[in-house]
Amino acid sequence: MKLEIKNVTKKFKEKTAVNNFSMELQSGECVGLIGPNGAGKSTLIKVIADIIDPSMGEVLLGGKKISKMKREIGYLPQYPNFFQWMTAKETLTFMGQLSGIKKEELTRSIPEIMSKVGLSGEENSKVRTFSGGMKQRLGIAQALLHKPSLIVMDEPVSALDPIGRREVLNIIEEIKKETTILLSTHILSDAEEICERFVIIKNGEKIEDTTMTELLNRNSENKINVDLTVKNQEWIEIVKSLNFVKGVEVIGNKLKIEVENIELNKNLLLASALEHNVDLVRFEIDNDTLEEIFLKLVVEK
Amino acid sequence: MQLHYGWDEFKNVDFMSFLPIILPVIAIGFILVLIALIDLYRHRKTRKNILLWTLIIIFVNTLGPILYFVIGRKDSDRI
Amino acid sequence: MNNFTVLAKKEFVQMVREFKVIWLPLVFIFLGLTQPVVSYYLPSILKALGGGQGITIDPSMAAQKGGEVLASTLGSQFDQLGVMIIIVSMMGVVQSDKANGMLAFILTRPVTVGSYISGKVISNYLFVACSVVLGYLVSYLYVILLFTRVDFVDLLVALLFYLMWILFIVSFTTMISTIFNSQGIIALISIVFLLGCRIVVGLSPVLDNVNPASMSKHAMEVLILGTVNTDVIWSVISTIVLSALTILVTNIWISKKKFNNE
Repeated sequence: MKLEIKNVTKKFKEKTAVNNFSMELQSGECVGLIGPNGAGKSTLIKVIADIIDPSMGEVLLGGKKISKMKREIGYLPQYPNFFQWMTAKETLTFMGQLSGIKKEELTRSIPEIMSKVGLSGEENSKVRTFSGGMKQRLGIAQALLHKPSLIVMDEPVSALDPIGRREVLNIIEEIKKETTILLSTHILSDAEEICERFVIIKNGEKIEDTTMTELLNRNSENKINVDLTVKNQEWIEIVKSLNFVKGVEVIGNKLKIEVENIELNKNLLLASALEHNVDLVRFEIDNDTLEEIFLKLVVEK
Repeated sequence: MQLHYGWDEFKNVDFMSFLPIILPVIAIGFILVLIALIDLYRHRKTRKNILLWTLIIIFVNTLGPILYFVIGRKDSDRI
Repeated sequence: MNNFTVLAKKEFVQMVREFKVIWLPLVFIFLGLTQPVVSYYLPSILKALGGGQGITIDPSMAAQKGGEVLASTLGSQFDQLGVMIIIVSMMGVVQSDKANGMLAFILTRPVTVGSYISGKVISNYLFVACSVVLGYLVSYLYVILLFTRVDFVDLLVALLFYLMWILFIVSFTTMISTIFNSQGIIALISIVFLLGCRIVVGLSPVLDNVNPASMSKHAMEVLILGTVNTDVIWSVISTIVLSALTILVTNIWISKKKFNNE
């Protein structure tokens, strides 16, 4: 189902958290909502999950107002918190029944979903005893339980340690095949790993909406990094004399070579290296990492 | 006028007739204390001020256990 | 199962897990016991202590009627400590859901605010009412054991009146618990307001007609006099209207999503 966010603005008493934000999500897409802390990600997510009303604008799912389509949304809050006195199974039963799932169906689907998120064996443990990662997984389980067509996740991995993070990312990777996912994060590498499309938000406004490859291409410069085992002065001189090379930067065993056109020249350069029996360690196109692009976007714009 | 009353004066009251009527009152107070203490003991790892609560439960008559159930049980539900 | 039953069932399970299902009835039984026992033994204790030393005992004290004692169970035990304990036991009813985000979480599901609130109010009311009834019945047993019989019809009518006052206590506390975020403030406001209501009963007949606490007074009158004051109809109406109003305010408050105070 298509999710449309139309001109959403949310004002709190003194500040505007989300300002005239619009975007569309096609069915089956996985979109990462990225922004620094305090950019308005959580507010936007809450508007989409119908926890808070926008001051202006609207959110439509499949052409209908989001408040009428709650059955189709699975929501994972930033810090999923459940009733401490319930067991994992009771929590899922409770949330499932509230979504209108029949009891017989739940007895079948709960063990299934528990094993999917890696919580089998913990059905009868109290939520009180759960670690952060386990709660996050239980949160994912409850968001998936009613088979929603859209899953909205607020910082699904930010609060987890590296192991928990990896586990949750794998689960998301898995469920990505079946549903539309919108997740927010302030850690780029997470988004980079799961999502194809990014929406960057800053001060409540959308400043970028793009795919990863596009972003990388746009920001790449015509530079090639070459690492050598030993400094080969002879070859460096040869490289410098090549007509398409515009400049060479040498830092120890590392060379940074600027060329006229990366597409045409990179293989020529490699050929030259092979021809002169240069002992190569690394040969790569110098891209800005997403981190750097992100910093540039967020700081400059 | 005599201000202090010794044990002797109480002898005038027939304790045996008291007992069956007073007993339920004491019993209920006792059950409350017991349940509160059991609960406190079971959750001793997640509770704060265990000693304080134990004293309150035992020595603040009837209200102690109630106070514990209402306020003392809560802090473990927070994150 | 619809959402209301799911939510109400959750409330009951929670009460069991938190031992509330044991201690609240016990407290009311305790309160119910106290009044008849104290009334019965106070004169003889005083007499024993006083001996012949000049403390005169009002002879009427020993001759209290059963109805009067049962009335003072309602008036001086349930209406004071009892009400406070109900409030304190319920102060987190919505507040704790707000505080840990469960309210917002539950409402991301296809759950109406109405079924959420009715699940809360009805389950809590049923439970508190059962506790009160238990305490009241125990008090009644002691009264017929130690004092005179109480007419059974009077007993039921008084109970019914009293339970209406309890309904207002429950719905009012739920409303305050929805509006405010600190348990201390919730308890303070509810206790001051509800006990305040109870104290002003009897000051002016007009005020009594719109005061839900006067239901308690009517209950006591039934027990003491054995007759029903015709003014009770106004109190009944105003209690129902006011309870409905508090529930409506709670509903609007949550629907407008004011609980999300970020």
